[in-house]
Amino acid sequence: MKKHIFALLPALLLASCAESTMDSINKDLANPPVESMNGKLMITDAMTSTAFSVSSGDYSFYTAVFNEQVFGCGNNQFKNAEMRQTNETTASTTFNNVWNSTYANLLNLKAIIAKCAEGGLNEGQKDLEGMAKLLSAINWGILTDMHGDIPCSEALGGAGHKQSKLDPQESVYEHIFTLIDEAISDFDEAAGMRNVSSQDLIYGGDIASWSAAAHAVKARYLLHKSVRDPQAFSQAKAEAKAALDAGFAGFDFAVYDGNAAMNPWAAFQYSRDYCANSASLHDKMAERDDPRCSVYFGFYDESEGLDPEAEVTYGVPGNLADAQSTYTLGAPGWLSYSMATGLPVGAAASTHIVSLAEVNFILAECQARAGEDYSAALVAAVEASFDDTAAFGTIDGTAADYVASLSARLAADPVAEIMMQKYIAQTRDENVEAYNDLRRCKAMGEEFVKMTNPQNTQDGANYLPVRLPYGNSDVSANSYVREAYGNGRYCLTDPVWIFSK
Amino acid sequence: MGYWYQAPVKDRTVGLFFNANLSWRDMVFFSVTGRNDWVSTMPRDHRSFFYPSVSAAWVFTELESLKGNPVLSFGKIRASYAEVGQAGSYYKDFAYTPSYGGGFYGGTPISYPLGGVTSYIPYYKQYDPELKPQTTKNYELGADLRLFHDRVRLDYTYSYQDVKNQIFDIPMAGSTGYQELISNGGRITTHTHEVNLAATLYTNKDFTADLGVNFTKYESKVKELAPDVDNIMLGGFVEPQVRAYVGYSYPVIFGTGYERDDNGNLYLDANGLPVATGDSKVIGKCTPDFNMGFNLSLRYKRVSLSTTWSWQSGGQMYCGTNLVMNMFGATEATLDRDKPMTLTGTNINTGEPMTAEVSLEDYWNVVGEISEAAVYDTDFLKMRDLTLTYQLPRIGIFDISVYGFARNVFVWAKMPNLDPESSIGNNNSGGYFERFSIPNTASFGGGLKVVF
Repeated sequence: MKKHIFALLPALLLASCAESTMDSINKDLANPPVESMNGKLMITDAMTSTAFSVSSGDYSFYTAVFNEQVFGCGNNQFKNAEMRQTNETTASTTFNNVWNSTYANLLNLKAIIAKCAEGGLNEGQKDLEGMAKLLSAINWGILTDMHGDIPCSEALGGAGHKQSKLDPQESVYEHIFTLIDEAISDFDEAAGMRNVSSQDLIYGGDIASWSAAAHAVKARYLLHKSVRDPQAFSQAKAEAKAALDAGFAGFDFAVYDGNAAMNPWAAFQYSRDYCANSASLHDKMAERDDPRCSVYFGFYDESEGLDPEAEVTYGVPGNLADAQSTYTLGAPGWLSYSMATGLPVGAAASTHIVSLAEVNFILAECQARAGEDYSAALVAAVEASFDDTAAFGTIDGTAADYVASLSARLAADPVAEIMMQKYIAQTRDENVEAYNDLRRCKAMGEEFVKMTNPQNTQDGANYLPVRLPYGNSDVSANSYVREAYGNGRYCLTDPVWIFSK
Repeated sequence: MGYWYQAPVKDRTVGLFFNANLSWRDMVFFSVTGRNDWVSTMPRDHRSFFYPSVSAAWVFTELESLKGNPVLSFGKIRASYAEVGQAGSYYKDFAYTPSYGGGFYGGTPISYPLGGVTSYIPYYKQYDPELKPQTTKNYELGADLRLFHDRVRLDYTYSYQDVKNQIFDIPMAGSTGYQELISNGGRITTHTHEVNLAATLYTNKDFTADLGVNFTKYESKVKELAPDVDNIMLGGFVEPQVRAYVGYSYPVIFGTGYERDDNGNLYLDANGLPVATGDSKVIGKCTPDFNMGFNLSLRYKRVSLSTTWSWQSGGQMYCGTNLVMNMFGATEATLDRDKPMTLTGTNINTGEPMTAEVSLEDYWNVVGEISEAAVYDTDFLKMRDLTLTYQLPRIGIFDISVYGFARNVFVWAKMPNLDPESSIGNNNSGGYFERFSIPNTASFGGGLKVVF
């Protein structure tokens, strides 16, 4: 008997540790390999991430404070941003999370695009491919607008390429337009396809809407080129028109239920209470008797919620005592707390990737700059903003009447007033685009929206960031980025290429 | 509504082990061990690994010529070599359902299923398909001596540890699309010297005195990390962190420091306040120069007194509690808060020398966010224990003693307010981080001991 056992042992051993046996044991059933995943299951999160983290999220939160659309309080990170403290504004840790999540999103999109190619799991699915390319364009666009030259052509290589060199912003922009143009032709070829359907959280798989959105995105990035290329205005105008003609009604992410799924701005305020009414924005709107003031500036008290009778309080940009205050200043209506739910009023508000208002504002600006009639586009833009705002409170008046009341200002300088209206309209969550507009206009020698924060200049030096610092993960692990980052103060002195002459 | 399903996860390790021991005349000892493991959690063709150990000792006082020597009662020389292999966990690139949270968000603002559907994306960690088991090689050389009929006992051990192919979650540049790579991260070597001395200083019927002294000095060095990687996070916060940094001793504190000009002068901003560096850098070296321990026991007739002391020289740690207390004006350093303080440095905007008077409140508000201001030297001398015992006369079969003790009573430390041995735990910050940890307590007590 003993002999048999000894003979059996090696056999047992061999059987139990053969490579194929071990392979099957090491399978993680909850996490299938990327290579066997259908691209339509991956595109869903590309939409979520593009809306929640990249278009809104940290980029939007901080730029809102730089733009004076929101006042940063709470005696912590947003006090630092409000006071233009460089330990916040130029630190590589500040935007590290969103830097990483944007690249992770681009990696996911790259994998989807690869699946749509010949021999891939989703070969020939032009609807899926177009979506992935359009979303990639937006992610690259926001990354480069915020950070300038970025790893792009060598990026997303994983462990096979740990350190990617920086691509000049000019070539990143070329890549963006290539992606948009390919997306537009993919959508043309995709007529009738419904490969994504319910996995598409934005348009439910409707390709016509995606095609219109592609033109809207193209209009935005063409407009950005206007400092560098005078032709860009007329091209942006054509794309904005093409989007609206195709029925563009907003490229919005509207899946929040205000409870299990909360709008990022609302979730941020609910978690931190760092946002307050900006006195600078209020002055600009009160000067115009803007009927949206009733919603834009709320009274905040966590225990009492929104109280229309209460005195509305504002933070004065750059005021240290205001920035250090906690739970005392009023906040924009959508970030103020609802008496009924105890949650921010805008907990279920949509996230704008490209809003209907923005596309109309692009059209109005380009028309006004060309000396054409811009009034219809401007009214449509302001109306879209009124509609968006009305979800959080009552507005006394119509957009058309309001625009009519601005006639003297419009007669004096139509572009200036259009830019001011765009700035006001983009307060809720389009702060990244507002930051781009402020920088773009400044590069053209225009300052239509005056910044008032005294901390923007210290000892004659500029402290309002002209770009955002690279993410810490690249600063510490990629020598190209580390070198470009230096001590981070380039964020105060060197404008990005697209917004400089 | 979704429901939770936890898919089963399995792993398998098969091991074969042998050992052999030889001894000759109670004088020479020799042993060998060997082990081979087959591990499922490693990539194909990297699953099997073998690790041996050998050790030898020579009790030279067993030599005929040395037996019964009045000075040297026991002497041993020992040497050993041991390898230990350790597997990592490997999974082929897989997809997972991401979650949203962290950063500014408390809780999870959104999660899947969302809008009735779920989603999968590439996992944020990449697994190296060439992952090798981590090997630790340990060389040890030592001697144990007992002198004067065992009244003096002296041990010395030198060891050299070489950890190769250490498996790390290597942080990757976000631009790679991933955040971490599970791979063989590098090589860390450690030299350790340890001396133990125990001596019975004096003994007679009424009085005994025993002294023990130990000395430890170790230094770990990060020799190399993975290609294109010069540092790895081991623990800590978003900032500061504990990291392994190539060329530095291991580990280091890595965080924001004071911005300084080329001559090392502080940069001051328009308000005359210090400026934090935008990026993190090495701001502290944790390893102490050496540690010593002392214990002394004295007995006079029925009364005995024993005490244990520790001394640490060198080393640094991050103490967040001091920093926050300074910021809130709760430490002695902030007492004269109505008097301004004078700072000299270089104006960061103009590059000119600058002297400024600033209020303590403004100063600590800014410095409170610079981690370098929370790095303290960890030199200390500490009385860990003092015990006084009285042995009662024997009653029948009962041996009774009463004793009183005091522990952690005195600590003289370079760091103010806190015991440098306070920490938020050893698991990921190596005991070098402190922030609102529960303070080490002094304790006093006594007891009655009955032996029968």
